[in-house]
Amino acid sequence: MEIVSCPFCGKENPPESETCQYCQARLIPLKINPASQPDSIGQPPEEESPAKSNKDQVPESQDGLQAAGEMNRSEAAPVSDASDWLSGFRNQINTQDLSSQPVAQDDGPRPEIRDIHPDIESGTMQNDSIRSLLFTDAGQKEEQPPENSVIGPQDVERTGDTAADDLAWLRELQSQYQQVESLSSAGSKKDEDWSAANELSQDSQKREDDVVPSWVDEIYAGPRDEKEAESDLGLSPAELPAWLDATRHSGTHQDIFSIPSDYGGQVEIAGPLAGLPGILPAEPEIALGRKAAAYPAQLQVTETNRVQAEIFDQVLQSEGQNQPIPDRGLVTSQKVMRMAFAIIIIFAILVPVFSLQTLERYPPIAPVAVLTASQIISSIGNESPVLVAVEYEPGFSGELDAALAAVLDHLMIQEAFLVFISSNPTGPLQAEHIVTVSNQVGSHQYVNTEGQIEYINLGFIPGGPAGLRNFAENPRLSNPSDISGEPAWQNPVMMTVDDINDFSLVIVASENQDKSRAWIEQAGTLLANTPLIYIVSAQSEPLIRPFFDATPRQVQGIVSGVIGSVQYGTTIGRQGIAQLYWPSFNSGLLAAAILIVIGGGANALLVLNAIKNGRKKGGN
Amino acid sequence: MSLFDLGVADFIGGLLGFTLTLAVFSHFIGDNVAFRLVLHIFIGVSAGYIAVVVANNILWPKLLRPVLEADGWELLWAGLPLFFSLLLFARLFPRYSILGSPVLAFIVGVGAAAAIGGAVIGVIFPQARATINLFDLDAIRQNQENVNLALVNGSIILLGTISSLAYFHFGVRKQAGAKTQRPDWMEWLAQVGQGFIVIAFGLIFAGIYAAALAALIERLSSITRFIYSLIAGF
Repeated sequence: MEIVSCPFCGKENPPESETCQYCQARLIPLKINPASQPDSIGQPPEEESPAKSNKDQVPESQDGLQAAGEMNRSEAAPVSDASDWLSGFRNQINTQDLSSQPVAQDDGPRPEIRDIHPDIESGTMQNDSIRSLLFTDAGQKEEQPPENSVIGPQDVERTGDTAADDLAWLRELQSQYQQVESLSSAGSKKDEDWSAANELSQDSQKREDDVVPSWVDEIYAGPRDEKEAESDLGLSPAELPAWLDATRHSGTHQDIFSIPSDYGGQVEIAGPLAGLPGILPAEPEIALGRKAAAYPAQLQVTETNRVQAEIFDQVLQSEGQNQPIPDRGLVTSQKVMRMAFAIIIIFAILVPVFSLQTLERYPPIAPVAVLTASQIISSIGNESPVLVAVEYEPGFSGELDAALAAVLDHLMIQEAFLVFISSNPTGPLQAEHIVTVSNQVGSHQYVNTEGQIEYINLGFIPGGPAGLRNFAENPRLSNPSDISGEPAWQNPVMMTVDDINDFSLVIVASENQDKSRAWIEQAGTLLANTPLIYIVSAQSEPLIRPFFDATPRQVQGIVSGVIGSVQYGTTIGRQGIAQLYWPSFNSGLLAAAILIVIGGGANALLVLNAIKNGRKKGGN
Repeated sequence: MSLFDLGVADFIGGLLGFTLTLAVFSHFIGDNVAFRLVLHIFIGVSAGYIAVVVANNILWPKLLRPVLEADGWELLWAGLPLFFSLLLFARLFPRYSILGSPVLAFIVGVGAAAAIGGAVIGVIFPQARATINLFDLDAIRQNQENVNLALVNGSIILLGTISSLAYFHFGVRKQAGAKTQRPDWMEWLAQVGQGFIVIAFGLIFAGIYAAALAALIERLSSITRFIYSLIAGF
């Protein structure tokens, strides 16, 4: 519910209150509503007379009693104008049959002044009511058109009488105008009009003197001669300097003290000035303690935009909310399928293991990449330094251990001096592990002891690509000691190595394509005559293959995964870890191929069934 | 090898490997406590081992020991890496982080220079030259290859290279009142490239499966060997 705060005392009032119930200050500002102005005397309230419609056409000085008085004093208004509106009104009177509908024209909603006077005399009305009505009537006089001014004198003369018949005044009005018409036809119409107007003005002035204070009359009286006013007080006029006289307001008192037209017809209803008309509102309208107007902030959007905005809002709101994980049943089709696939593959792997049967049918032909690698290693002489970069993670040791073990087996057969390095922190440990595995599988005795050093683990290269570059350019400075902290370059074989080109062979074992490419980029560009061989996982072999297929080759040999390891063992006639994995590996690949075919066929059947159902639905 | 042939360390190692492997395999039935426990153990062990390696292989021999063993002017030269390393700790404090910025900028700059230089010199230029040399008739005759087959092989490689690059070309020229799309010949080339890319992805997927299968075989083989040794021992 809206509450109106008083602009003066600040207390809250009900919204329907016009005045403050605490300080009687007005809560509703005065506003001029021409439609709510009281109608003229004798004029039907619901029917706008042509005379009233012509009100705007007449001069403002002729609007009301005061204007009539002014005009009488100044004699500035053109007489011809009065004749025009008077003739217009006469034409209206002639066209109306006033005697036929007298009651309807007098059915006004408010009392008229002639009806109030008896009450005043009898004292039955309260003072405020009387004052309000009188001032209201005075204000109405200002708004009355000149036609009513003509009617006024006869009507005012009847104010002291109680009208038994409301139509009598109208008949008198008709007779009055007939008289006016006769006068105008005699050629002295102008003089008679002005005499009637003067009578109306004098009578109205007399009536206003009874109820309006004298100072209001001074304001209404218009400009007065200053000298005359000063002479009334017995003072001689002062002689002002020319410059001061020039600054004086050139307007009249009427200009200074004139009441704005918007407030002229309003009567104060509260406070000490209650009952006075033309009071300027003390409180600004803006001071009313109402709530600010609520302008709609909604955009003019289409229904589609609104729906999209709601969806976007929901998405934004759901961003910060924890989405509960839907409860899944212990057994779902996806879980069952996943476990079924795992069981099938594990079964396929374990069957060859428990059957203890070895698959002797290895790939008969080795690819060029493996064959080239084998040939290069076969050319490695005794005590030749071979750099082996162990760059794979422990998770891929199952695959790369098998592949690297076959190559290391060949290098150990060739009695090469192995130098391990890694840019992976876990690489040095993997290097120690693969040496142990190779010794076990190949029955070798490669050790690093005080009395016998057949390999050196230089440890970890920090710095990523920059570290690799640094090692390739100056391995002594990059890794001066081995993994145990002992000096690495005091060995007779190592003393012959100053940069990476002094190694007889460089082998990189990695499952990571980025690490593999980093060795090509940083170290491979420095290799002149030293071959570079890659031991890679099957998943990164397609990405290393272009470096082998390039002309000239950037990589001289590739051994890829279990298959490459088996092929490499075939080239040297040795069996290693890969040969142990080979039966299970083949079974696992076969199982995977069968599952892919079955899954693809099932998926194709589902798609065909869906298409068939779709055609049926479409046909129906 | 029976249980009695195993040492205590081998037996404990084998038992740990067997248990942890089964815990990882328990992920078949969904996420569970055993799988997460093994995951945390692996991460913790890896982090601890890396810290030890870095301290043993880098911090002590390359950073601290030279400072302790140096004297005179060598101390200034050996102390510079340690000083710059300590400046990196200023990055921990926002108020003094600017002290570590030059060192960090030096590290990033050197790494970027090495990576970009290596990529250009080691990969882009050699691979572009290799693609061009596929049509070098002298080189083909020198390798004693069939010229026609070599040219066909080179054409396929060239088509695969160009069409794969065309597939990732998304630049179009906007035309008023027309649908914004690549030219028809570019669309056709991109479709051919898409075929090459699909084949490459299929090959990589097969390699991933082969690698995973090898790892699974290695683990199952280890488990069976451990079980066999236990059975043989009793």
